Amino acid sequence: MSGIARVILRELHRLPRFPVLWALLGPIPLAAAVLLTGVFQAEVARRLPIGILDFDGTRAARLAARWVGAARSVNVVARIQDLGQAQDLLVRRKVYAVLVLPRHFERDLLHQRSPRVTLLYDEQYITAGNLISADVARAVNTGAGAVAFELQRSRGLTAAAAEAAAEPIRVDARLLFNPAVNYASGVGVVLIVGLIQVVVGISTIYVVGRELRDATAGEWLEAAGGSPAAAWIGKLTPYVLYDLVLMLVLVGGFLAWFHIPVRGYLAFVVLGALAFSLATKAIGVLFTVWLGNLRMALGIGSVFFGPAVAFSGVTFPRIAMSTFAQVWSGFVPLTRFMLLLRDQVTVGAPLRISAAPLLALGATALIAGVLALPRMGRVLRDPRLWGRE
Amino acid sequence: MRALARCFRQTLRQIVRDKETLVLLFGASFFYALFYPTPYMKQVLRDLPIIVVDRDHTALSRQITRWLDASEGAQVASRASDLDAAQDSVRAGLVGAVLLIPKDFERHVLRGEPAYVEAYADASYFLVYSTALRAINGVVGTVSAGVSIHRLQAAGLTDQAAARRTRPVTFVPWPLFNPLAGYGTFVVPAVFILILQQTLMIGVAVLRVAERERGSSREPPWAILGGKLGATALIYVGHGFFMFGVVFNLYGFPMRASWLDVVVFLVPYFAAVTLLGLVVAELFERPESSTVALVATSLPALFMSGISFPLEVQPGWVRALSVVLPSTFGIRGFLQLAIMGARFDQAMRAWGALWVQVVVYWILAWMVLRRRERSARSDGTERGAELVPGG
Repeated sequence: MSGIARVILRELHRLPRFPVLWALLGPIPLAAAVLLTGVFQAEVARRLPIGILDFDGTRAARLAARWVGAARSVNVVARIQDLGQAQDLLVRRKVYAVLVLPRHFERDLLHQRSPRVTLLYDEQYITAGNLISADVARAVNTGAGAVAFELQRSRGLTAAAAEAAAEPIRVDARLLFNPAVNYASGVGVVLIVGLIQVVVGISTIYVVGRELRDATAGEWLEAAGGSPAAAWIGKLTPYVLYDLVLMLVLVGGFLAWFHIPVRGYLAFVVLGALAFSLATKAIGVLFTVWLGNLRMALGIGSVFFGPAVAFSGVTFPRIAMSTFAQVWSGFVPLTRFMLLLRDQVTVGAPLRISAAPLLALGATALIAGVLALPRMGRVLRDPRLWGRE
Repeated sequence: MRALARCFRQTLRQIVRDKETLVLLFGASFFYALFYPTPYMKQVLRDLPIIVVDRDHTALSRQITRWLDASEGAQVASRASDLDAAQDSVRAGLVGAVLLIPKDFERHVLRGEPAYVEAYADASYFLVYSTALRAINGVVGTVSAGVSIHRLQAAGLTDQAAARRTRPVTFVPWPLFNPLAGYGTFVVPAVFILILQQTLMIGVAVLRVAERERGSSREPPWAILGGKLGATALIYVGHGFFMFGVVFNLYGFPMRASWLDVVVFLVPYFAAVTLLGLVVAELFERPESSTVALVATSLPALFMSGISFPLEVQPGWVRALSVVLPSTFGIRGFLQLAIMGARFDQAMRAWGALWVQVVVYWILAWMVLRRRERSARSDGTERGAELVPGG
């Protein structure tokens, strides 16, 4: 039996002794992914609670309120009497917005004095706030447009001319790649992949770090027949394969659950997943062999892998980041892999575009590997590096 | 009372002595607070590159292009004639959107016929498409209103009447609490509250596992719990001052609550997290296991709080599970007080929920301590309850 095979066997025998590793590889990411799937279950936010503050109380005002209430993203849950109550409901988070119809709304509308309809909305909760303000603006403008249309028509204009007079230039907006603005696709995927990066990185640190802390690195090298190369390949291979399975189950499951199609080349995505696993593992190994201390490596690993989603450029684009964050995010495998997933899953871009992130992942793995190399042999042989707490 | 003071001092000593708890309970929050906000320092996306495909080549189409370039959100990366090539650039992620101004655009406008421009925006990134569309809608809306007013003036109306007539209703969107829609203001305060939870919970679990290894304490369980709560509250109120005072100032995030309100609100939060950490520690046999098991819980915890995808549209079972986490109520209430400027009584629900957690987790933690104590007594050794070797 070759050294590599013996190390793999030894690894499989070791596994049951580490319940927390089991938990990290299986139940924890699975539970977290199920929870995140649950969070985004609705895919698009609809019927968010809003209030209406009607200072006018006329038929026209009620009609306008009904018009707004019919917008998809809102649900009128409160009729409010005064601004104090509006403020109270907003800060208590009972409503995300309050539509204010001014006094003399109907009179001003009929006299063509363009009454001001104000939407007070909660922009701290940006997702809800933006959605509601865009939707209510559309509802108000459509309603107002209908009024204007009637006004112009009553002047004897043709329907087309009246329409053009009400809004001479329009924007025909087309949302590419995610036309429904589906949150599962827009935000959910990066969370699942970010979660996987945490699992891959931390588990690597743990399996290597445990050998050092338990001073079993000698046995490990012995199982490899004294060859450090065989020791490392045998150690990491089962986990790389497992990473691929984990990604297939979690990312594949997430995409399938939300019916998100893969628009590009699946084989390329798998290749990317392999490079992502290798790059993340290389960074985990780099931390562990140089720190030579399980707890310290876990700490540094948490700092590096934990906040990676914020730096990935998916929720907040890299071009808007500070220079420091841009540079930092370049080292994070998640950043590159998300580019590749965007291109090959969401967009269906040609392969040459995704070559860059794939090469970057390969380079990350290579550079981290080369930096770790001088210590990768030593930690196996030098007992002074073992047993550190 | 003496026992409580002893346990309090004992916990502090233990934290300072163990390098790992020291790093987790002191260093981690400090470091994350400075590090985490760095992507969001500019708060908003500015000068997003957009390609304009101008097939009209008139004064009006050039005006739209110029104004778009001058807008805050966008800049015109290039003017092209080939729509397919321009869309390829969006596909490649090089530009955020394409604005197509069709042939005969100005002619339609001058003739009073309906005129359209087409916007193709990259919706694979939410902030990109929303920024692009806001910029394009803003510029086109302004140009369009100018055209309307011009027409009505030509029909003999005064400026003011014309302006009113173009919009029978004036819609005024009035964003509250985070009026510039700053991404940092949106995400950082919530994440800071989460960071406090994660570092404290992991730190307390490490502390507890290490303490268990050393052997049983003769102090009564209530004093052990009380001493821990006092010690962690002291340290974490300090972190609160650093995060929400120093770091908020440094990065320019708003702070609308008084310090008294913040401290009063956060005390049960820290208590609930500490007690939860003591309970969770029962699952681990080695100190470092808590880091391994809990580091992956941050992402679901943050999104279950509803700051990003609204709580109201999350399914019932997710919301039911979210009440277990102190962060769910900690984030909600803290945002109310610190960002939305709520009076304390308006954040009472979140505060009350935290107290409920304190009571529940106190009972659980107390039971756990009692059980350990008994099994230690019956075995004559503290390590009697070790079920799983290695851990």
